[in-house]
Amino acid sequence: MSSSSTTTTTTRLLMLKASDGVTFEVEEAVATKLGAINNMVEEEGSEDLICLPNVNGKFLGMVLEWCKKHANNNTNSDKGNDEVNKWWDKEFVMDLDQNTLYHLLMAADYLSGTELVDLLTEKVASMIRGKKVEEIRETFKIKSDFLPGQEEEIRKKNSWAFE
Amino acid sequence: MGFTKTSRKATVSGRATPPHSAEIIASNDDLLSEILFRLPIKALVKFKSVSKHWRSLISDPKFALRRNTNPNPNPASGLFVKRSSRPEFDFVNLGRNPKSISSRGPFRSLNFADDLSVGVGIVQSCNGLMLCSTNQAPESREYFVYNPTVNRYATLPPFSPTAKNLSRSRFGVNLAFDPSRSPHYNVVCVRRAGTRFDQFRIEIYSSETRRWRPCAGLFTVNSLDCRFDGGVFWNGSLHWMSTFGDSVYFDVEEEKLSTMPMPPLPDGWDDELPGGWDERDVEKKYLYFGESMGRLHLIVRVFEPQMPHFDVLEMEMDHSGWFVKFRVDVSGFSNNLDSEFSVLCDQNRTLN
Repeated sequence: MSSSSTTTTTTRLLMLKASDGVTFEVEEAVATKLGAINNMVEEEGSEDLICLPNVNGKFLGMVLEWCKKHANNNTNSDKGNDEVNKWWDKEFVMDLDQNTLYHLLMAADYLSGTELVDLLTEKVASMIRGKKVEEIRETFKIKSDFLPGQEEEIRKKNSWAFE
Repeated sequence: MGFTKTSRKATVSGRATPPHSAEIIASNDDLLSEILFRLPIKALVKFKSVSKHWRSLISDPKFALRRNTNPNPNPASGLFVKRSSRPEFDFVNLGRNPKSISSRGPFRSLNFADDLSVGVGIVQSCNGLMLCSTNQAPESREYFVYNPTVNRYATLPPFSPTAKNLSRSRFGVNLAFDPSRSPHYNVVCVRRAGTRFDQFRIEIYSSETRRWRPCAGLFTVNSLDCRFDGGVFWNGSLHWMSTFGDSVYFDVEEEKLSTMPMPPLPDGWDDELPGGWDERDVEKKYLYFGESMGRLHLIVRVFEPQMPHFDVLEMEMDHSGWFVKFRVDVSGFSNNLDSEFSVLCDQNRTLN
């Protein structure tokens, strides 16, 4: 093995097991882009099988796809990488439906994938920034708990924001 | 380890297609805050009326502070232009997406003074707030701090004791506001002390205490033409430029005055001015002095007969000196460099 390889470090493979039993075999360098996995590897060392009871296979797969792209792009030491990553990120979030987006965000948060959380929260923000208050309540299933008149008062006080 | 703290999601994400994923996001304060940080002010103010929970998140002073420490500061959204012939301000919209932002400015005129016949002008703009004053003689001027985003203003109490005979270069009132450090602003008043031409007294008004307090001692500034009425706030300090003497900056928190390094005059200028230049040109060698996107800039005219140009200089973050950021060739522009310039750094875009 070592004779055919020109790299100085051998790539270790980790096995990640999602809540629904689906497993993924990933290079350590890819999986450790997630803070939570990185901590586990550093703290617990030798464990090769990591169980993730809070993420199901579909979303774990997507998170790992993102990690893989970013890990690969970052190993090519060209300065165009930032651009490539940005372009790829755009593609990645472009066609996500809301339900997938929110689940993915929860998974990324749970796995401490900070950069991915940034990307996804930015996407959510861009989706909600132009919405009306009523639409926000509908999206996030929120019931207004203001007393009668209170909401009206906030609107009146900040009328410039509602124009 | 970090895994236990979010374990409450286990019950939901364990299901094959859990309903209302958005509901879970909205009940996670950390994630919801991350999303809200990325919204423009207007949307945030609007969303205060979504629910009590959203209102308390958005109104929390800690939220505002964290939002303002965004490493990518907002670029200037527009320029206000005042022509002497008209009482109204023109607005030049510089928004990134001109379609989404209304092209009219947040105001056309400023009517804060009790006496509406007295005009109000903009003295200084500083990180979203504006210092305004009535267009009167310095000693009877009234000062206001105006927030154009929410269209509210505060009238400053008069300085004590009442200032008298304040000449332009010997007196200045400046605003110091950095929302990433504190939600409160300071207004700094500099004026000549006693009979010595180079000694000054500094007073600071704080929006927190709502009163003026004098700084201890007198400050010496070795300059006859320091522009105390044209201060620029950057990096925690107010900066005052002088063409012939020392330029200085005042650290508002530490109440410390220091000399600011300025670019040297070109070789030989001390003895003889280059052909075609006279004293008045030297007076106008600095075309602009201001702050943009967290950087301090100075535009300097450079006289070279073959290639008239100006340099846009940027100050090192530690105040150690200036470096050339851009060199602008103006030979095709016009040979009149008396026009006014300002620097707005937005993805290295320079505007005039």
